[in-house]
Amino acid sequence: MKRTNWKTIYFVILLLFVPKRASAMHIMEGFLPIEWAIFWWGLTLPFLILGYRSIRSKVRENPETKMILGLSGAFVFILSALKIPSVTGSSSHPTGVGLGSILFGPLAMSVVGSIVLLFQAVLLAHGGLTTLGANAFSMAVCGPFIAYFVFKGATKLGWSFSLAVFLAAAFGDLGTYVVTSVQLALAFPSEVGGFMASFSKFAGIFALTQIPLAISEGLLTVVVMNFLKKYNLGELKLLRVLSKEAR
Amino acid sequence: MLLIDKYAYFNGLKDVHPLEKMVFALSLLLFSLTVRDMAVSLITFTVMSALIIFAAKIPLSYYFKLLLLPGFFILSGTITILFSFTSKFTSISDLWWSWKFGNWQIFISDDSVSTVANLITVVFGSISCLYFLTLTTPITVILSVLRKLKVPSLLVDLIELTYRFIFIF
Repeated sequence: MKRTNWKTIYFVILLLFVPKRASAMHIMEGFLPIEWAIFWWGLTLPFLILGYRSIRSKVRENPETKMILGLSGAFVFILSALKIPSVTGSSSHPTGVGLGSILFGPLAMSVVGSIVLLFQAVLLAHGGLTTLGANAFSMAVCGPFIAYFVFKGATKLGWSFSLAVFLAAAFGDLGTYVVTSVQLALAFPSEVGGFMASFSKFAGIFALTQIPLAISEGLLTVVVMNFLKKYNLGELKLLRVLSKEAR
Repeated sequence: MLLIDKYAYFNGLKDVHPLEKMVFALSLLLFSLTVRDMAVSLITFTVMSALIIFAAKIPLSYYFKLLLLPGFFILSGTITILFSFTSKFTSISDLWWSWKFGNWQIFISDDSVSTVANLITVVFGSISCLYFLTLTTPITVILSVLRKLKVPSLLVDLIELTYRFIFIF
């Protein structure tokens, strides 16, 4: 009985997931004016340095965490290689950001996420080098931090583990989408109404695809987390060494 | 699996020093992005495309497919910039096209037309620089250059591990 239950849930989620594989939009190479590209690089850099330091101290304690981080980066990349185009010069696919920041903490995730974005730009021609800073800020900095704090907050309120994971992943995605809309609106404000008009245009068009996608990624993350909890308790314990806070 | 990666190892420019290719591609990329000029971008695009097809010997059909990838993105992206809307009937002087319904007005202004035209050329100019680099230079070689440039070794290790693990899945 329990097995069939799991199977039904799995296939329902899969159906939700397949038509429009979850989210994250990458601004393509050359799309942002150079001033904005530099600005977003500048905002991302401090997080990368902090993340690098936290990874370095963890690797000193536990050298095998380097392997785990590399492996999960590759896994996120493979997930994201299943991409679909979306409106406004960017495209959509699963991020794994919620999952990663619950497992590794937001700081480590900012480095892993940026590496994944780099490979997406270089190997899939998806995203870009100059726009890497902006994309990393929305997907590897804002997304993970939102996901992490939502997860912490929901756990503190005593909500169930699954609900906390769902909310964390879904809000992480939504945060990424809002930040990307802000970035595009700042770079291309409307002549009438300026930033706000432009933001509502970008955000409105993104909302069509991104809100369903955030929900499906939230559900997917819950399924993955539950499987991990069931079959990989040992690895999860090892990961707790990675981020003591997440449990 | 990853065609870009395959071409990076087998192309006509594989024996050119990676640092030369990186400096060439990245400086042209930054230059065309900084000046944001249509002529500069078109020249960049032509030069890079010629190098990719004739010097690196990447099949034209594959390069064309790569170009179509962002081609679709930019088509949909520019539509958002092209169309503006306003709730009041403000008199915008240089309207290219407009349509009214109820209290709303949807319009395309001359400014947004020129923004979009400029954006399309700049994007294709800069994307050709990115393609030149990724189609002629393997990741492992880029990473060895990064090591020489004294990028923190743990970071390069992480990038390399991620790259290696990609082919496991």
